[in-house]
Amino acid sequence: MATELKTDCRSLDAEFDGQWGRKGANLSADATRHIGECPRCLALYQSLYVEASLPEQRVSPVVQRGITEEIRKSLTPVTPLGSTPVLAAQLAAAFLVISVVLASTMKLVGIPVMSGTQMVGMSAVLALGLIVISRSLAWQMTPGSRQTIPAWTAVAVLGMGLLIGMLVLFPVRTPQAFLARGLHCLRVGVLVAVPSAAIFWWLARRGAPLNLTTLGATLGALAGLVSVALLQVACDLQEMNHLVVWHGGVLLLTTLVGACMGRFFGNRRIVDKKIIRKK
Amino acid sequence: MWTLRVCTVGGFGGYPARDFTFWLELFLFGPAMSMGQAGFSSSGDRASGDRTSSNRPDEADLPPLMVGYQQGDAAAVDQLVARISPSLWRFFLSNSKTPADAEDLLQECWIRIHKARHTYRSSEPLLPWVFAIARYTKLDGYRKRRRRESKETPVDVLPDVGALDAPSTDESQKRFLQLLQQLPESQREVILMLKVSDMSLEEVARATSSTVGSIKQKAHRAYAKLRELIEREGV
Repeated sequence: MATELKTDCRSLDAEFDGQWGRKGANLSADATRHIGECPRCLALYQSLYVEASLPEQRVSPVVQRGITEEIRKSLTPVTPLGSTPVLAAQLAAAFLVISVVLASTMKLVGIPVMSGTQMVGMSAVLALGLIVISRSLAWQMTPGSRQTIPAWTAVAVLGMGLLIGMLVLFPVRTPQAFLARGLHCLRVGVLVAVPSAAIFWWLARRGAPLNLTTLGATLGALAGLVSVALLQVACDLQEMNHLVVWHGGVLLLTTLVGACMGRFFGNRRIVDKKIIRKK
Repeated sequence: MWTLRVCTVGGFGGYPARDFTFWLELFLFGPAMSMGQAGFSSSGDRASGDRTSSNRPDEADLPPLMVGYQQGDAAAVDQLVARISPSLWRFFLSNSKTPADAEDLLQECWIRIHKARHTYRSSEPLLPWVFAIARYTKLDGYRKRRRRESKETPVDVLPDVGALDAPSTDESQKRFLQLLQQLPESQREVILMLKVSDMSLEEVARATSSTVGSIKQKAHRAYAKLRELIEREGV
């Protein structure tokens, strides 16, 4: 009786997870017995196994021939894209180069204002964010990648990491010219983010990103990260309110703008081209 | 008593009739024996559900063909198109209004595969790469269709020549497609990849930029929903 109770509809579902192939599912004896006893599971099994075998030889030979002929027209050798770590490293290197070049044009008045702890803490948060976002972007460049961290989670991790870093590491003081100073930082941040995003887009378009909304958000977040890093060293107002609202606001703004632009271009991507017109 | 209904009435809640030995073998020896060896292959009737070959293309020699494609080998392209297109065709057909729509999607998908061919790495499985592209081709096709339909003003009722009514499509497959249409999109695509294209959980997770746990969850929800639907339709 114990074996009778072991397999129920739910555990049968777990066995349905396997690949079936030409000989059907390799179901256990318990599962097979359960199928015999449960009409619903039998019907489901039959539906999934028998009826799911949609006809194979239905692709029109004309269409198939048209596809191959069209491909042959522009069939040139291509160099495979680098691996995910290589792509992520390229993006991280671009991040560093952009940051150094732009920082060289600014007065780094923020560095003397920060304590050692603040410096190390924010560097760690920025480095972690860079690793997570550049990896996510590299995954998105290659279809079918195993994405251990979904793209939106990566963006959220970056945002939360920065928020926690700013909340924990920096003191709350009475805001000095909160709006005027903040708007200045926001303007500088956006000005930094625009060329950064263009360069990251140029790097990302070497791949084949599929979801442009997600890609736009990730690119925006990476460009925003450059802005946050530069504002951190170029802004002398190192207080929590200012950092969270205005520096963090740059990241939020660039991410949202990136997502919107990605969505816009994604809508335009819908192609009307056909290889063959049969009629 | 339901077995009697299967054998005597000739169908299981609308399912095609099988001979008695099929059901007997299913219960005695398990599905692998009854479905794969004794039940269907003896009849040789593909339309009634014979899976003499797997829906899944044999993956072992696909990566070398794809590498040949990347190197500009035209023969590799011919073979690759011939080997992968049926799987893609099934994937698109199950969600298209007409076979012509599925053909359009198939062509569009190959254009995208061609443009993205440099992003394939020979160390990675090919099917998730292909189906990730196919998935977005289908999504964009759906959006395009929606957009087109929202701008069109119907002037006449055209005869419905949908994929589901294609003359050579078996009744049971038609029924399966109708069941699938009632699933939410995310569950439908998981079932399509798992059971129609015969991909593994890991491959589906890669193709959908998701995790194996999430795919399992969607699949199990789909199974539960399918059970409900089948039962509602009179089992």
